[in-house]
Amino acid sequence: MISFSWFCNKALKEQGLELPSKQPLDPGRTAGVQADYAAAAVGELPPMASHTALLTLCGEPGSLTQAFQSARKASADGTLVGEGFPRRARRIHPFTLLKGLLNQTPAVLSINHQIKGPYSNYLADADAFVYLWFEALSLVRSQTPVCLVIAEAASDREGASMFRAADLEQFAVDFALALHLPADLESVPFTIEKGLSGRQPRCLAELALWLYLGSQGLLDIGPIRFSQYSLSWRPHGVH
Amino acid sequence: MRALVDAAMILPGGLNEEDLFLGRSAVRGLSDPFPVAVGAPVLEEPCAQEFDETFPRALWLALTAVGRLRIKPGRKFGLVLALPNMFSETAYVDPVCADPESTELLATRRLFWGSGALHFLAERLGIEGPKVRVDSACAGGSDALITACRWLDTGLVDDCLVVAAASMLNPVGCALFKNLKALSESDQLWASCPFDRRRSGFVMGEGAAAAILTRNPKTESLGYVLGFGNSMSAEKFTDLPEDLGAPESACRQALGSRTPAFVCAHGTATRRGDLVETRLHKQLFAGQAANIPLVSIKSMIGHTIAAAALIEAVICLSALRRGMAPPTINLQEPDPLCDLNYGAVGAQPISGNICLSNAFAFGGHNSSLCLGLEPHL
Repeated sequence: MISFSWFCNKALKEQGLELPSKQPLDPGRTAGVQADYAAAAVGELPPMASHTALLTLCGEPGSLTQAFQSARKASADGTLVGEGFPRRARRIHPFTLLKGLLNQTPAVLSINHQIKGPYSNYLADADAFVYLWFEALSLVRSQTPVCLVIAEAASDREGASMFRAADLEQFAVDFALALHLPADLESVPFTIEKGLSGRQPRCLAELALWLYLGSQGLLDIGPIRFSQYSLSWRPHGVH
Repeated sequence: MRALVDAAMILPGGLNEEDLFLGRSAVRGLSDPFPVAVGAPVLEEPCAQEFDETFPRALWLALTAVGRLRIKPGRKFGLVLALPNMFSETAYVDPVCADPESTELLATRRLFWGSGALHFLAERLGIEGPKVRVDSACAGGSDALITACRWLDTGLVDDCLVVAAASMLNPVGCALFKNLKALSESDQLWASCPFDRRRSGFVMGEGAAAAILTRNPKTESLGYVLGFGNSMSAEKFTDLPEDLGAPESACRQALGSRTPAFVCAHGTATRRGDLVETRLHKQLFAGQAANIPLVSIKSMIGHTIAAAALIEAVICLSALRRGMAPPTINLQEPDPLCDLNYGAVGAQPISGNICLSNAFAFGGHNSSLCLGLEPHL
């Protein structure tokens, strides 16, 4: 059986749903917000064997440019980069790079949960879930358990602006969805096959939300459509 | 079968494939606003009319590498793009820092974030098959190739374009790595000196590579991906772990029972990384370790981050075809603790037609490729 867990910073209010939520983490840590939510979601799953494969689909990692404000304000003309930048650059926190890494979520999950197996880290596109899912099934067939995580942190000012620019402001949220596929997996709550039917998720948050709600039987989601494939829920929801 | 039928690169310093067997260096001096004294920049510049400030330099590098391929990718090709975060590019960070809430501004910078770059590239090339952007920091190029291999193995695609590019050789990118104490403190052009006693970190480079991988080669192949392996160290964010079990596992998955003619090291010139790689080499090959060259291409082109491992894979296959392992340059004062054959005296003849290429990235990613000249070795 697949286990699902979910955390988000706000319960996507327009959907009228109650979802497990957590407070955003304190600023100034090595890991960004996205990784923190992912670690919390994986923490709710059964303990992982060390040879578990780590498959992640990550969106925005959390605000990055705010880390440069101190250096920017020290500039005479208000621009960050320009003459004198080498001196101002000392004001940038050494961990800023780590927080900006697009692979910080698998890194943090591996360290926090001692996962040492193979990995794939896909980025930013709901369509990519299908290909990650095929990788997951292939690994399970070779008796490798899989931890599959979808996570994003976009509730800050920069993230919200990005999502507004893409007409997706309601999805500028911090969330993580985690799935555990044991090596002896017998059934899954959905199938993915070639063909187009159902609704197409507009972003990672919507896809993750539908997967979670569908798996919990909280909402009749119907099929989910990707660019060449469709996900259909099996009768009776979760097995 | 995973045949590499075409490959192309854009290397720093105006170098080409041949230069890397002659031991030429791409490292140049940098000045204000760069916070470091040396780097390995790509010397070509984009056409300003086509590629304005809304176009990421890393994506331009990717597009340039793809444009140098002989084979045009087909509509049904898969596309795997390794591209790290581009927020450090001045054209993004400077205006967004000044106004992070400007929707209009971020709309013009759509190619810098999310899947914008991936969709642009797919559309530009007319690729309608499966496509993903991947990132595992400095192992991105190797892992992009591994993703393509997995897609080929499972029958998801028959042909796949793999592209890896990075351009963090900008003032903010250099500052981020410098503040983390990952970059060389030297102002000398020999600063990219893996396995040398004077090493103090890597020299930032930039570049891109593109490769076409296929299950059914119709033309002569450049070589084959015979095996691959990746693993997570689960120990440290920025260093190779003390316990080498995870990186060793990646190497052994890739190699199987094969013995390589040489190993292309991650070899960045960090104090600890080079020592640990030396230890790993001895752990993997025991009594044969001294006879299997361990070379660093980064000694010549600096560290091109996500592009590095794909560039190295392409050079590895070239090395096998030439029967010569590339050199490790700037190794003039050997570290007594780095006591293997690193190719310090220049390109050297090799016997055998397979090699191992390793990438070890921030975040604890270990990614290994076994490459060869015959499909089944």
